Amino acid sequence: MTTTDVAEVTSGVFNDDAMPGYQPAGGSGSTYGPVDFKYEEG
Amino acid sequence: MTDPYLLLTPVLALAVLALARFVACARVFDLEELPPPPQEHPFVESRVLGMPRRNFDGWVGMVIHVGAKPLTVTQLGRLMLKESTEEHQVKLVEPAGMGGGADKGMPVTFPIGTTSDSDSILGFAYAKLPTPVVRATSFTTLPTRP
Repeated sequence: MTTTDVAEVTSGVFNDDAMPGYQPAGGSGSTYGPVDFKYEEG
Repeated sequence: MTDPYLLLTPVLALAVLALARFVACARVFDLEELPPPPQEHPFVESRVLGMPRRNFDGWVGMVIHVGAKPLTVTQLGRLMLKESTEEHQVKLVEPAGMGGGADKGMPVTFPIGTTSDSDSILGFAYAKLPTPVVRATSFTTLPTRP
């Protein structure tokens, strides 16, 4: 995955049903959920 | 007097005068040009995907660290297959939300697919945030679940 340079993806994240809460997973830029966002600078 | 150019002379003269006054107004009143409206950009520029999976119904997403300049998130999106039929939720989660705390959620509805081709990726579908969210330097996540 490549992104614009306004921000950095530091890890993926998932919610483990056995351990409620969002758990970081994966490494920097290596994993991501199938999501995106649109932004305006400033 | 049937010459069309002669008939249009007064109109053309008035047009030239109006244009001259318009330009003069900008100079006399030192009018500045308005900046262009802000452009929306998608964050993800390219991706390499694996196979779709259907054995997880929790939230998945990514942790994002905003760079030196703040940005305003205007839309959230999720990748969809042509066969997608479920409404998905997409939301921003504050750092405190990583431990299950409060988050800012929003529902996103997507159209029903018309094909059973499971490998067909349509791309990201987006929905506008009711209120754009300005992010400075903190972490943000964008989970999704069916």
